Amino acid sequence: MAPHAPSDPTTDEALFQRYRTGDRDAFALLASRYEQALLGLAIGILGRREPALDAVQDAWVRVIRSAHTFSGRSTLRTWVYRILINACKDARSRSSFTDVAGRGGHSPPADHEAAQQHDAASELHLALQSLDPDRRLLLLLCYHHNLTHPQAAEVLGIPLGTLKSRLNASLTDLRTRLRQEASR
Amino acid sequence: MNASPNTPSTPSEDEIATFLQDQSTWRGGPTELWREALDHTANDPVPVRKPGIMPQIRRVAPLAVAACIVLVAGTAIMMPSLGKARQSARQLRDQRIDSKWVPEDAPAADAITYQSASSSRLAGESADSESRVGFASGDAQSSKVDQAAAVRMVIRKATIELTTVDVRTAFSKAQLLLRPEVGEFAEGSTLTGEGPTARAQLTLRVAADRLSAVLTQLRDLGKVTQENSTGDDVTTQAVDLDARLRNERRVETELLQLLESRKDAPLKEILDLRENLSRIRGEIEQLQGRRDTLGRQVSLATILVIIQAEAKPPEPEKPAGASAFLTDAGKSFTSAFTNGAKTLVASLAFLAELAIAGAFWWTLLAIAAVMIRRRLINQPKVSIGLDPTPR
Repeated sequence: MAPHAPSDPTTDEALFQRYRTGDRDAFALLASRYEQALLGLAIGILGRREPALDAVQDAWVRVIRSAHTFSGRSTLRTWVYRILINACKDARSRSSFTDVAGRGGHSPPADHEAAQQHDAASELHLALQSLDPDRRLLLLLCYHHNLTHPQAAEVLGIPLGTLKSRLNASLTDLRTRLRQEASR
Repeated sequence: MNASPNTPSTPSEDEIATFLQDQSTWRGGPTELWREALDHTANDPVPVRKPGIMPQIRRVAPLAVAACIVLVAGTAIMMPSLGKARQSARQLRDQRIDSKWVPEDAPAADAITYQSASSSRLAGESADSESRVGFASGDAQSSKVDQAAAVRMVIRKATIELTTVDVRTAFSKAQLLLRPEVGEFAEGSTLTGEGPTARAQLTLRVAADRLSAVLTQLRDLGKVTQENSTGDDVTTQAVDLDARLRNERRVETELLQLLESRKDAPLKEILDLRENLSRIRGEIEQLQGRRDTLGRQVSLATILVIIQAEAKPPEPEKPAGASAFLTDAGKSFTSAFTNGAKTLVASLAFLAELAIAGAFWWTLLAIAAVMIRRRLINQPKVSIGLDPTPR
């Protein structure tokens, strides 16, 4: 799901510029590069499929309507991710919900080892959901395969050093909560 | 996960990383949400980027702040000069009201401008006021000459005796008070002796309108032991000289007319006329010279400055021991307190002056600062230095 191959002569910014001059095909190409990654992050933030789909669509609407405000001071990637994060926050504030299932990935365990892995994943999932929303967002961004740490820092609007220290604190917090879950 | 079935253990770094990556990975099928968004916004009006007023303010604000700072600094620097200029202008205006007249039809060659000051002002602080009076030739102006006589022409002289510890320095400083560019000069100067026997004497010729100012500066060079000033009224002499000059010029004109009309006269008569003309012209030159000298004497005042070494007072006997220390410490403390208080008062006065004079600019600066602060506070953290993120 890489946004675009290195050999691709057309950059995101160039495609976006072409779209701003009326080329819808350029936007189609650009959006197809991003959509899967954005959906992944949205579902990580919101925890459920339907709100994630709505949030990504909302983000695309905002991108289209605000295309004229993009001046290139940041990269298109970080701009789009920030829009998505805002859309996810708005979606979360509109309806508070907790993620129990709905990701479609938690099927019943087939054997003992699978069951054990399932338990561990559930513990991690619970620990992640119990984290502070900002820390959860930071962890998801830092481990999101479409973003590097400098890009994640730019998305959050913080220096790289701050990001790393917060990442360390968030991981420590996560482990602490995991230990608490395990000791119950 | 490597945990044993019965023992709970925390997952490893890699397991957490894999889990987190897995959490932000889309598992569903291909989607085209962007297409729906495009269709949804198809009927939207074409957005046009409006520059708005904030970017313009942001662009102009640093320049405006810099201009304000420069203006405030300029005002603060120029304020003393402006004050002096205002004072001088006021004095000049008052003096012009006092002045009687300046002849408009006076020939340029004959109109001599002199500095004058009323005798009543000679002793006063306002003696450096200026009035310009022209003495012109011609009978038609005799009434004006009477008026001019009312404005006194005074040759001013002053003597000041000073004592100071450093005679040599005071001597040098006194010479530096002269302004050669306006014709001032030292007529004579002597410096004799060394240390307690040093003595200096200077004769300064300064512009009449600066006499008071120079005397004030001289008083700062030491302790004044004696000071006096005199004024010699030469108005009558000047009026007399002017009258004689006018008369001689009239005779010269008549002789020239006679010479012109009697071209066919005998040679002896013509030679007599020329001889008389030559004599008249010589007298005119002499009178003119005396008149110029008188004018110079009036325009430049004379100051005799005598500077002598100050006799050191006998040092009081210092009390010995702890009491001496306490006395010295008390004096030092009192002196420090007095100096500190003086400095504080002077600083507060300066700040008050600066605050009042630059009130307008301070207000502008404050408004600019408040606007910048509000803008910084209202800026969302996520968008610092980045493109605006639509919400």
